[in-house]
Amino acid sequence: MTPHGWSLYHSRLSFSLNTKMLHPMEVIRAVEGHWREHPDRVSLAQAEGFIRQVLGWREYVRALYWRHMPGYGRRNYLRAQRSLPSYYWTGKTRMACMAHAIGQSLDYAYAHHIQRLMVTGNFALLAGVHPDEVDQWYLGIYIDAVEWVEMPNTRGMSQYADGGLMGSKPYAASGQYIHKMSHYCENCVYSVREKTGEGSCPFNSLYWHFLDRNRERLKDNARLKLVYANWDRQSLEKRQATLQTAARYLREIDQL
Amino acid sequence: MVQVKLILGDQLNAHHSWFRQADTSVVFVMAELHQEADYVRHHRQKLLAFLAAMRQFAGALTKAGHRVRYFTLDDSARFRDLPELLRFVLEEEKADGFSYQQPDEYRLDQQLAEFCQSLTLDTQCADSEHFVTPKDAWDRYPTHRMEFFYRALRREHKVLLTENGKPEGGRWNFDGDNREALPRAQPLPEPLLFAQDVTDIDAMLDRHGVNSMGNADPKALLWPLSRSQSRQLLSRFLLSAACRNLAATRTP
Repeated sequence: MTPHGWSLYHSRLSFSLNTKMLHPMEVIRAVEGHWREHPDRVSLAQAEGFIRQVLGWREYVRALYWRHMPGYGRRNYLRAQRSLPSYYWTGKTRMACMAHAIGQSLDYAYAHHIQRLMVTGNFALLAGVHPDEVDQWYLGIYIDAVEWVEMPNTRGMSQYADGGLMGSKPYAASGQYIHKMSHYCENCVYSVREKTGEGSCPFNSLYWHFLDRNRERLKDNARLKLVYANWDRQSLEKRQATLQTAARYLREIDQL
Repeated sequence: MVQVKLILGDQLNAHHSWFRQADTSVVFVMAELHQEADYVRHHRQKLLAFLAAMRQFAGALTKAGHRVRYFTLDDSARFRDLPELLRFVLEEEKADGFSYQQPDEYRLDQQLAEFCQSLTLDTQCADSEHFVTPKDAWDRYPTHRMEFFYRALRREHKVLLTENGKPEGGRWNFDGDNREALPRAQPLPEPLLFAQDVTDIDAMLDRHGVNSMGNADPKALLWPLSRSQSRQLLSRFLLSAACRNLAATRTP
Protein backbone atom coordinates (compact mmCIF):
# COMPACT_ATOMS: atom_id res chain seq x y z
CA MET A 1 0.00 0.00 0.00
CA THR A 2 1.64 3.18 -1.12
CA PRO A 3 0.59 6.66 -2.22
CA HIS A 4 2.11 6.07 -5.67
CA GLY A 5 0.85 4.26 -8.74
CA TRP A 6 -2.80 3.39 -8.32
CA SER A 7 -2.86 0.16 -10.29
CA LEU A 8 0.51 -1.24 -9.47
CA TYR A 9 -0.19 -4.31 -7.44
CA HIS A 10 -3.47 -5.51 -8.67
CA SER A 11 -4.75 -6.51 -12.02
CA ARG A 12 -7.97 -4.58 -12.52
CA LEU A 13 -9.33 -7.77 -13.97
CA SER A 14 -12.31 -7.65 -11.67
CA PHE A 15 -14.37 -5.39 -13.96
CA SER A 16 -13.88 -7.86 -16.84
CA LEU A 17 -14.74 -10.75 -14.55
CA ASN A 18 -17.80 -9.18 -12.99
CA THR A 19 -19.26 -8.17 -16.36
CA LYS A 20 -18.51 -11.77 -17.43
CA MET A 21 -16.30 -10.70 -20.32
CA LEU A 22 -13.76 -13.10 -18.80
CA HIS A 23 -14.58 -16.47 -17.29
CA PRO A 24 -13.07 -17.19 -13.86
CA MET A 25 -11.73 -20.57 -14.97
CA GLU A 26 -9.96 -19.03 -17.92
CA VAL A 27 -8.21 -16.58 -15.61
CA ILE A 28 -7.38 -19.31 -13.09
CA ARG A 29 -5.91 -21.60 -15.78
CA ALA A 30 -3.91 -18.71 -17.24
CA VAL A 31 -2.33 -17.94 -13.86
CA GLU A 32 -1.71 -21.60 -13.05
CA GLY A 33 -0.18 -22.16 -16.51
CA HIS A 34 1.98 -19.09 -16.15
CA TRP A 35 3.35 -20.38 -12.85
CA ARG A 36 4.04 -23.83 -14.31
CA GLU A 37 5.89 -22.33 -17.29
CA HIS A 38 7.69 -19.55 -15.45
CA PRO A 39 8.21 -20.54 -11.82
CA ASP A 40 11.11 -18.10 -11.80
CA ARG A 41 8.81 -15.14 -12.55
CA VAL A 42 5.86 -15.93 -10.35
CA SER A 43 6.07 -17.92 -7.15
CA LEU A 44 3.65 -20.65 -6.14
CA ALA A 45 2.62 -18.51 -3.16
CA GLN A 46 1.62 -15.65 -5.48
CA ALA A 47 -0.24 -17.87 -7.93
CA GLU A 48 -2.02 -19.66 -5.09
CA GLY A 49 -2.92 -16.35 -3.41
CA PHE A 50 -4.54 -15.07 -6.60
CA ILE A 51 -6.37 -18.31 -7.35
CA ARG A 52 -7.65 -18.32 -3.75
CA GLN A 53 -9.31 -14.97 -4.46
CA VAL A 54 -10.99 -16.04 -7.70
CA LEU A 55 -11.79 -19.71 -7.07
CA GLY A 56 -12.16 -19.41 -3.32
CA TRP A 57 -13.46 -16.05 -2.12
CA ARG A 58 -15.29 -14.99 -5.27
CA GLU A 59 -17.35 -18.18 -5.51
CA TYR A 60 -17.77 -18.30 -1.74
CA VAL A 61 -19.28 -14.81 -1.43
CA ARG A 62 -21.67 -15.52 -4.26
CA ALA A 63 -22.81 -18.72 -2.56
CA LEU A 64 -23.21 -16.85 0.71
CA TYR A 65 -25.14 -14.03 -0.96
CA TRP A 66 -27.73 -16.33 -2.49
CA ARG A 67 -28.08 -18.44 0.63
CA HIS A 68 -28.63 -15.48 2.94
CA MET A 69 -30.50 -12.89 0.88
CA PRO A 70 -32.67 -10.93 1.40
CA GLY A 71 -32.07 -10.92 5.16
CA TYR A 72 -28.34 -10.41 4.76
CA GLY A 73 -28.91 -6.91 3.42
CA ARG A 74 -30.61 -5.89 6.68
CA ARG A 75 -28.04 -7.20 9.12
CA ASN A 76 -26.46 -4.74 11.54
CA TYR A 77 -24.93 -6.89 14.26
CA LEU A 78 -23.06 -4.02 15.91
CA ARG A 79 -26.10 -1.67 15.75
CA ALA A 80 -24.06 0.99 13.97
CA GLN A 81 -26.09 4.15 13.32
CA ARG A 82 -23.79 6.98 12.21
CA SER A 83 -23.89 8.65 8.79
CA LEU A 84 -20.98 8.34 6.42
CA PRO A 85 -18.78 11.46 6.77
CA SER A 86 -19.00 13.86 3.83
CA TYR A 87 -15.36 13.34 2.78
CA TYR A 88 -16.25 9.93 1.41
CA TRP A 89 -17.61 11.90 -1.57
CA THR A 90 -14.85 14.48 -1.79
CA GLY A 91 -11.67 13.04 -0.34
CA LYS A 92 -11.32 16.27 1.65
CA THR A 93 -9.95 15.12 4.98
CA ARG A 94 -6.65 15.70 6.75
CA MET A 95 -6.18 11.98 7.37
CA ALA A 96 -3.58 11.19 4.69
CA CYS A 97 -4.53 7.54 4.20
CA MET A 98 -8.23 8.38 3.87
CA ALA A 99 -7.63 11.35 1.58
CA HIS A 100 -5.53 9.16 -0.68
CA ALA A 101 -7.74 6.07 -0.69
CA ILE A 102 -10.90 8.13 -1.30
CA GLY A 103 -9.27 10.54 -3.75
CA GLN A 104 -7.96 7.66 -5.82
CA SER A 105 -11.33 5.94 -5.72
CA LEU A 106 -13.01 9.12 -7.00
CA ASP A 107 -10.41 9.50 -9.75
CA TYR A 108 -10.28 5.88 -10.89
CA ALA A 109 -13.36 4.05 -9.56
CA TYR A 110 -10.85 1.61 -8.16
CA ALA A 111 -8.94 0.92 -4.99
CA HIS A 112 -7.23 -2.28 -4.10
CA HIS A 113 -8.35 -4.71 -1.49
CA ILE A 114 -6.15 -3.32 1.26
CA GLN A 115 -7.28 0.28 0.77
CA ARG A 116 -10.92 -0.77 0.78
CA LEU A 117 -10.58 -2.96 3.83
CA MET A 118 -7.85 -1.38 5.94
CA VAL A 119 -8.49 2.31 5.30
CA THR A 120 -12.01 3.32 4.22
CA GLY A 121 -13.80 0.22 5.50
CA ASN A 122 -11.87 0.17 8.75
CA PHE A 123 -12.64 3.82 9.42
CA ALA A 124 -16.37 3.32 8.85
CA LEU A 125 -16.29 0.29 11.16
CA LEU A 126 -14.41 2.11 13.93
CA ALA A 127 -16.68 5.16 13.64
CA GLY A 128 -19.82 3.00 13.73
CA VAL A 129 -21.32 4.00 10.40
CA HIS A 130 -24.61 2.32 9.51
CA PRO A 131 -23.87 -0.63 7.18
CA ASP A 132 -26.60 0.53 4.75
CA GLU A 133 -24.64 3.70 4.11
CA VAL A 134 -21.33 1.87 3.77
CA ASP A 135 -22.94 -0.65 1.41
CA GLN A 136 -24.36 2.06 -0.84
CA TRP A 137 -21.03 3.82 -1.03
CA TYR A 138 -19.05 0.72 -2.00
CA LEU A 139 -21.72 -0.41 -4.44
CA GLY A 140 -21.63 2.95 -6.19
CA ILE A 141 -18.01 3.97 -6.24
CA TYR A 142 -16.18 0.89 -7.50
CA ILE A 143 -16.13 -0.13 -11.13
CA ASP A 144 -16.33 -3.83 -10.22
CA ALA A 145 -19.06 -3.49 -7.59
CA VAL A 146 -22.05 -5.71 -8.28
CA GLU A 147 -24.20 -6.46 -5.26
CA TRP A 148 -23.49 -10.20 -4.96
CA VAL A 149 -19.78 -9.53 -4.48
CA GLU A 150 -19.95 -6.08 -2.90
CA MET A 151 -22.40 -6.84 -0.12
CA PRO A 152 -20.74 -9.84 1.59
CA ASN A 153 -17.38 -8.12 1.35
CA THR A 154 -18.65 -4.80 2.71
CA ARG A 155 -21.38 -5.72 5.18
CA GLY A 156 -19.70 -8.96 6.19
CA MET A 157 -15.94 -8.91 5.83
CA SER A 158 -15.43 -5.19 6.32
CA GLN A 159 -18.24 -4.07 8.66
CA TYR A 160 -18.91 -7.29 10.63
CA ALA A 161 -22.63 -6.50 10.31
CA ASP A 162 -23.30 -10.21 9.72
CA GLY A 163 -21.90 -11.09 13.13
CA GLY A 164 -19.09 -13.23 11.78
CA LEU A 165 -20.49 -15.19 8.84
CA MET A 166 -17.79 -13.86 6.48
CA GLY A 167 -14.89 -13.17 8.80
CA SER A 168 -13.99 -14.66 12.15
CA LYS A 169 -13.40 -11.22 13.70
CA PRO A 170 -14.01 -7.57 12.82
CA TYR A 171 -11.43 -6.13 10.45
CA ALA A 172 -10.60 -3.36 12.91
CA ALA A 173 -7.12 -1.89 13.05
CA SER A 174 -5.42 1.07 14.68
CA GLY A 175 -3.23 3.63 12.94
CA GLN A 176 -0.20 1.60 14.01
CA TYR A 177 -1.25 -1.18 11.68
CA ILE A 178 -1.84 1.19 8.75
CA HIS A 179 1.62 2.63 9.42
CA LYS A 180 3.17 -0.81 9.39
CA MET A 181 1.57 -1.74 6.08
CA SER A 182 1.89 1.56 4.18
CA HIS A 183 3.80 4.79 3.67
CA TYR A 184 0.91 7.15 4.33
CA CYS A 185 1.61 8.15 7.90
CA GLU A 186 4.90 9.97 7.43
CA ASN A 187 3.19 12.82 5.56
CA CYS A 188 0.05 12.99 7.68
CA VAL A 189 -0.81 15.95 9.92
CA TYR A 190 -1.99 13.46 12.52
CA SER A 191 0.65 11.65 14.49
CA VAL A 192 0.37 7.90 14.32
CA ARG A 193 2.61 7.60 17.38
CA GLU A 194 0.11 9.48 19.56
CA LYS A 195 -2.92 7.68 20.94
CA THR A 196 -4.54 10.56 22.75
CA GLY A 197 -4.94 14.30 22.56
CA GLU A 198 -5.07 16.78 19.75
CA GLY A 199 -3.18 15.74 16.65
CA SER A 200 -3.18 12.05 17.52
CA CYS A 201 -4.12 9.67 14.73
CA PRO A 202 -7.92 9.24 14.91
CA PHE A 203 -7.63 5.55 14.03
CA ASN A 204 -5.71 4.96 17.29
CA SER A 205 -8.31 6.17 19.75
CA LEU A 206 -11.29 5.13 17.61
CA TYR A 207 -9.92 1.60 17.56
CA TRP A 208 -10.17 1.31 21.34
CA HIS A 209 -13.47 3.18 21.42
CA PHE A 210 -14.84 0.61 18.96
CA LEU A 211 -13.67 -2.31 21.06
CA ASP A 212 -14.85 -0.73 24.30
CA ARG A 213 -18.36 0.18 23.10
CA ASN A 214 -18.89 -3.21 21.41
CA ARG A 215 -17.51 -5.24 24.27
CA GLU A 216 -20.70 -7.16 24.99
CA ARG A 217 -20.98 -8.33 21.39
CA LEU A 218 -17.31 -9.11 20.87
CA LYS A 219 -15.85 -10.19 24.18
CA ASP A 220 -16.44 -13.90 23.63
CA ASN A 221 -14.59 -13.92 20.33
CA ALA A 222 -11.51 -16.06 20.94
CA ARG A 223 -9.45 -13.97 18.55
CA LEU A 224 -10.11 -10.82 20.57
CA LYS A 225 -9.36 -12.15 24.04
CA LEU A 226 -5.78 -10.92 23.94
CA VAL A 227 -6.83 -7.52 22.59
CA TYR A 228 -9.28 -6.99 25.46
CA ALA A 229 -6.67 -8.19 27.94
CA ASN A 230 -4.30 -5.52 26.57
CA TRP A 231 -6.96 -2.85 26.95
CA ASP A 232 -7.76 -3.88 30.51
CA ARG A 233 -4.10 -3.81 31.47
CA GLN A 234 -3.88 -0.09 30.70
CA SER A 235 -4.46 2.30 33.58
CA LEU A 236 -7.93 3.69 34.07
CA GLU A 237 -6.55 7.16 33.43
CA LYS A 238 -5.05 6.14 30.12
CA ARG A 239 -8.18 4.35 29.01
CA GLN A 240 -10.30 7.38 29.86
CA ALA A 241 -7.98 9.69 27.94
CA THR A 242 -8.21 7.40 24.89
CA LEU A 243 -12.00 7.24 25.04
CA GLN A 244 -12.27 11.01 25.52
CA THR A 245 -10.09 11.64 22.48
CA ALA A 246 -12.20 9.25 20.45
CA ALA A 247 -15.44 10.82 21.67
CA ARG A 248 -14.20 14.24 20.60
CA TYR A 249 -13.20 12.94 17.18
CA LEU A 250 -16.61 11.32 16.77
CA ARG A 251 -18.34 14.60 17.64
CA GLU A 252 -16.27 16.40 15.00
CA ILE A 253 -16.16 13.53 12.58
CA ASP A 254 -16.99 15.60 9.51
CA GLN A 255 -14.07 17.92 10.24
CA LEU A 256 -11.31 15.31 10.61
CA MET B 1 -41.91 -19.31 -32.98
CA VAL B 2 -40.17 -16.17 -31.73
CA GLN B 3 -38.05 -16.29 -28.59
CA VAL B 4 -37.12 -13.08 -26.77
CA LYS B 5 -33.98 -13.40 -24.65
CA LEU B 6 -32.83 -10.76 -22.19
CA ILE B 7 -29.15 -9.97 -21.60
CA LEU B 8 -28.40 -7.86 -18.53
CA GLY B 9 -25.53 -5.36 -18.32
CA ASP B 10 -23.31 -7.69 -16.29
CA GLN B 11 -23.97 -10.69 -18.56
CA LEU B 12 -21.53 -9.94 -21.38
CA ASN B 13 -20.50 -13.56 -21.73
CA ALA B 14 -19.71 -14.17 -25.41
CA HIS B 15 -19.17 -17.87 -24.72
CA HIS B 16 -22.69 -18.43 -23.45
CA SER B 17 -24.47 -21.31 -25.23
CA TRP B 18 -27.17 -18.84 -26.35
CA PHE B 19 -24.73 -17.45 -28.89
CA ARG B 20 -23.38 -20.70 -30.35
CA GLN B 21 -25.24 -20.14 -33.60
CA ALA B 22 -27.28 -17.34 -35.07
CA ASP B 23 -31.01 -18.04 -35.15
CA THR B 24 -33.37 -15.53 -36.75
CA SER B 25 -36.25 -16.64 -34.54
CA VAL B 26 -34.37 -15.38 -31.48
CA VAL B 27 -34.43 -11.71 -30.53
CA PHE B 28 -31.91 -10.61 -27.92
CA VAL B 29 -32.88 -7.60 -25.83
CA MET B 30 -30.39 -5.32 -24.13
CA ALA B 31 -31.44 -2.14 -22.38
CA GLU B 32 -29.84 0.79 -20.64
CA LEU B 33 -32.24 1.46 -17.80
CA HIS B 34 -32.99 4.32 -15.49
CA GLN B 35 -33.80 1.80 -12.77
CA GLU B 36 -30.23 0.47 -12.96
CA ALA B 37 -28.50 3.85 -13.37
CA ASP B 38 -30.37 5.38 -10.43
CA TYR B 39 -30.87 2.71 -7.76
CA VAL B 40 -27.58 3.73 -6.20
CA ARG B 41 -25.31 6.73 -6.85
CA HIS B 42 -22.73 5.22 -9.22
CA HIS B 43 -19.26 6.42 -10.07
CA ARG B 44 -19.33 8.21 -13.42
CA GLN B 45 -16.71 5.82 -14.83
CA LYS B 46 -18.78 2.84 -13.76
CA LEU B 47 -21.84 4.12 -15.63
CA LEU B 48 -19.75 4.91 -18.71
CA ALA B 49 -17.90 1.59 -18.68
CA PHE B 50 -20.98 -0.59 -18.19
CA LEU B 51 -22.97 1.18 -20.91
CA ALA B 52 -20.05 1.28 -23.35
CA ALA B 53 -19.30 -2.42 -22.78
CA MET B 54 -22.99 -3.26 -23.31
CA ARG B 55 -22.99 -1.37 -26.62
CA GLN B 56 -19.84 -3.14 -27.78
CA PHE B 57 -21.34 -6.49 -26.86
CA ALA B 58 -24.56 -5.74 -28.74
CA GLY B 59 -22.48 -4.66 -31.74
CA ALA B 60 -20.46 -7.87 -31.67
CA LEU B 61 -23.62 -10.00 -31.49
CA THR B 62 -25.16 -8.17 -34.43
CA LYS B 63 -21.97 -8.62 -36.42
CA ALA B 64 -22.07 -12.34 -35.70
CA GLY B 65 -25.54 -12.52 -37.28
CA HIS B 66 -27.74 -12.37 -34.17
CA ARG B 67 -30.86 -10.23 -33.96
CA VAL B 68 -30.45 -7.66 -31.19
CA ARG B 69 -32.84 -4.99 -30.00
CA TYR B 70 -30.82 -2.46 -28.08
CA PHE B 71 -32.42 0.31 -26.04
CA THR B 72 -30.30 3.32 -25.11
CA LEU B 73 -31.38 5.48 -22.18
CA ASP B 74 -33.09 7.69 -24.76
CA ASP B 75 -35.04 4.71 -26.09
CA SER B 76 -35.94 3.28 -22.70
CA ALA B 77 -36.93 6.54 -21.01
CA ARG B 78 -40.58 6.08 -21.89
CA PHE B 79 -40.80 2.80 -19.97
CA ARG B 80 -41.33 2.87 -16.23
CA ASP B 81 -39.08 -0.09 -15.56
CA LEU B 82 -37.64 -3.26 -17.07
CA PRO B 83 -40.89 -5.31 -17.03
CA GLU B 84 -42.74 -2.58 -18.91
CA LEU B 85 -40.01 -2.46 -21.56
CA LEU B 86 -40.01 -6.23 -21.89
CA ARG B 87 -43.78 -6.38 -22.22
CA PHE B 88 -43.53 -3.91 -25.08
CA VAL B 89 -40.88 -5.99 -26.89
CA LEU B 90 -42.76 -9.26 -26.37
CA GLU B 91 -45.87 -7.73 -27.93
CA GLU B 92 -44.07 -6.11 -30.81
CA GLU B 93 -42.21 -9.29 -31.66
CA LYS B 94 -45.31 -11.44 -31.12
CA ALA B 95 -43.09 -13.60 -28.98
CA ASP B 96 -43.92 -17.17 -28.03
CA GLY B 97 -41.35 -17.39 -25.31
CA PHE B 98 -39.22 -15.30 -22.98
CA SER B 99 -35.86 -16.27 -21.46
CA TYR B 100 -33.37 -14.52 -19.22
CA GLN B 101 -30.13 -15.52 -17.60
CA GLN B 102 -29.97 -16.02 -13.85
CA PRO B 103 -29.42 -12.46 -12.52
CA ASP B 104 -26.68 -11.91 -9.97
CA GLU B 105 -28.67 -9.51 -7.89
CA TYR B 106 -31.54 -10.38 -5.59
CA ARG B 107 -33.55 -7.30 -6.58
CA LEU B 108 -33.45 -8.18 -10.30
CA ASP B 109 -33.97 -11.86 -9.61
CA GLN B 110 -37.22 -11.02 -7.80
CA GLN B 111 -38.32 -8.51 -10.42
CA LEU B 112 -37.83 -10.95 -13.30
CA ALA B 113 -39.36 -13.90 -11.47
CA GLU B 114 -42.48 -11.83 -10.74
CA PHE B 115 -42.54 -10.61 -14.33
CA CYS B 116 -42.47 -14.18 -15.62
CA GLN B 117 -45.34 -15.16 -13.35
CA SER B 118 -47.40 -12.39 -14.92
CA LEU B 119 -46.87 -13.77 -18.44
CA THR B 120 -48.95 -16.42 -20.17
CA LEU B 121 -46.22 -17.46 -22.63
CA ASP B 122 -43.38 -19.90 -21.95
CA THR B 123 -40.62 -18.51 -19.75
CA GLN B 124 -37.23 -19.82 -18.84
CA CYS B 125 -34.42 -18.76 -16.54
CA ALA B 126 -31.10 -19.99 -17.96
CA ASP B 127 -27.81 -20.37 -16.18
CA SER B 128 -25.42 -17.47 -16.79
CA GLU B 129 -22.70 -20.08 -17.46
CA HIS B 130 -20.15 -17.94 -15.69
CA PHE B 131 -19.53 -19.20 -12.19
CA VAL B 132 -17.62 -22.32 -11.27
CA THR B 133 -20.23 -23.33 -8.69
CA PRO B 134 -24.05 -23.43 -8.90
CA LYS B 135 -26.26 -20.79 -7.30
CA ASP B 136 -27.04 -23.09 -4.36
CA ALA B 137 -23.36 -23.89 -3.74
CA TRP B 138 -23.74 -22.92 -0.08
CA ASP B 139 -25.68 -26.11 0.59
CA ARG B 140 -23.50 -28.33 -1.60
CA TYR B 141 -20.01 -27.55 -0.36
CA PRO B 142 -18.38 -27.20 3.04
CA THR B 143 -18.96 -23.56 3.94
CA HIS B 144 -18.30 -23.14 7.64
CA ARG B 145 -14.93 -21.77 6.55
CA MET B 146 -13.93 -20.47 3.12
CA GLU B 147 -10.75 -22.54 3.28
CA PHE B 148 -12.61 -25.87 3.03
CA PHE B 149 -14.93 -24.59 0.31
CA TYR B 150 -11.84 -23.55 -1.65
CA ARG B 151 -10.03 -26.86 -1.15
CA ALA B 152 -13.06 -28.79 -2.39
CA LEU B 153 -13.04 -26.69 -5.56
CA ARG B 154 -9.28 -27.11 -6.02
CA ARG B 155 -9.80 -30.88 -5.89
CA GLU B 156 -12.91 -30.90 -8.06
CA HIS B 157 -11.33 -28.82 -10.83
CA LYS B 158 -7.78 -30.09 -10.38
CA VAL B 159 -6.32 -26.64 -9.80
CA LEU B 160 -2.73 -26.41 -8.53
CA LEU B 161 -2.67 -30.12 -7.82
CA THR B 162 0.14 -32.60 -8.37
CA GLU B 163 -0.42 -35.72 -10.45
CA ASN B 164 -1.28 -37.57 -7.23
CA GLY B 165 -4.00 -35.08 -6.38
CA LYS B 166 -1.99 -33.36 -3.63
CA PRO B 167 -1.74 -29.57 -3.38
CA GLU B 168 1.28 -28.17 -5.20
CA GLY B 169 4.05 -27.22 -2.78
CA GLY B 170 2.72 -29.59 -0.13
CA ARG B 171 0.14 -27.22 1.37
CA TRP B 172 -3.12 -25.55 0.40
CA ASN B 173 -2.49 -22.13 1.79
CA PHE B 174 0.41 -19.74 1.27
CA ASP B 175 -1.32 -16.74 2.79
CA GLY B 176 1.46 -16.11 5.25
CA ASP B 177 3.94 -15.63 2.39
CA ASN B 178 1.80 -12.96 0.77
CA ARG B 179 1.44 -10.68 3.76
CA GLU B 180 4.56 -8.61 3.63
CA ALA B 181 4.40 -4.83 3.26
CA LEU B 182 5.41 -3.41 -0.08
CA PRO B 183 9.14 -2.68 -0.32
CA ARG B 184 9.65 0.95 -1.27
CA ALA B 185 12.31 0.45 -3.93
CA GLN B 186 10.22 -1.90 -6.06
CA PRO B 187 10.00 -0.72 -9.67
CA LEU B 188 6.39 0.02 -10.59
CA PRO B 189 4.97 -1.94 -13.49
CA GLU B 190 3.32 0.11 -16.23
CA PRO B 191 -0.43 -0.41 -16.09
CA LEU B 192 -2.27 -1.15 -19.31
CA LEU B 193 -4.78 1.64 -19.69
CA PHE B 194 -7.16 1.97 -22.57
CA ALA B 195 -8.29 5.38 -23.83
CA GLN B 196 -11.74 5.13 -25.33
CA ASP B 197 -13.99 7.92 -26.44
CA VAL B 198 -17.37 7.64 -24.75
CA THR B 199 -18.40 11.29 -25.02
CA ASP B 200 -21.71 10.31 -26.64
CA ILE B 201 -22.65 8.23 -23.60
CA ASP B 202 -21.47 10.97 -21.26
CA ALA B 203 -23.69 13.49 -23.05
CA MET B 204 -26.61 11.08 -22.81
CA LEU B 205 -26.11 10.72 -19.04
CA ASP B 206 -26.14 14.53 -18.75
CA ARG B 207 -29.24 14.75 -20.89
CA HIS B 208 -31.06 12.38 -18.55
CA GLY B 209 -29.75 14.01 -15.40
CA VAL B 210 -28.28 10.77 -14.08
CA ASN B 211 -26.74 11.44 -10.68
CA SER B 212 -23.19 10.15 -10.29
CA MET B 213 -20.03 10.60 -8.24
CA GLY B 214 -16.32 10.71 -8.96
CA ASN B 215 -14.30 11.96 -11.89
CA ALA B 216 -14.12 10.72 -15.45
CA ASP B 217 -12.51 11.68 -18.72
CA PRO B 218 -15.10 10.60 -21.29
CA LYS B 219 -12.57 11.20 -24.08
CA ALA B 220 -10.25 8.58 -22.64
CA LEU B 221 -12.03 5.96 -20.55
CA LEU B 222 -9.38 3.54 -19.35
CA TRP B 223 -11.47 0.42 -18.68
CA PRO B 224 -11.60 -2.64 -20.96
CA LEU B 225 -14.88 -2.61 -22.85
CA SER B 226 -14.74 -5.86 -24.78
CA ARG B 227 -13.63 -9.42 -24.42
CA SER B 228 -10.56 -8.85 -26.59
CA GLN B 229 -9.48 -5.89 -24.44
CA SER B 230 -10.09 -7.98 -21.35
CA ARG B 231 -7.84 -10.68 -22.82
CA GLN B 232 -5.14 -8.07 -23.43
CA LEU B 233 -5.42 -6.99 -19.82
CA LEU B 234 -5.05 -10.58 -18.68
CA SER B 235 -1.95 -11.11 -20.84
CA ARG B 236 -0.36 -7.93 -19.59
CA PHE B 237 -1.18 -8.90 -16.05
CA LEU B 238 0.63 -12.21 -16.42
CA LEU B 239 3.67 -10.66 -18.07
CA SER B 240 4.01 -7.64 -15.85
CA ALA B 241 5.76 -7.42 -12.58
CA ALA B 242 2.29 -7.07 -11.09
CA CYS B 243 2.52 -10.82 -10.59
CA ARG B 244 4.65 -9.84 -7.63
CA ASN B 245 1.50 -9.58 -5.61
CA LEU B 246 -1.32 -11.20 -7.50
CA ALA B 247 -3.29 -11.66 -4.35
CA ALA B 248 -4.21 -8.01 -3.97
CA THR B 249 -7.08 -8.24 -6.43
CA ARG B 250 -9.87 -9.04 -4.03
CA THR B 251 -13.02 -7.01 -4.19
CA PRO B 252 -14.71 -5.84 -1.03
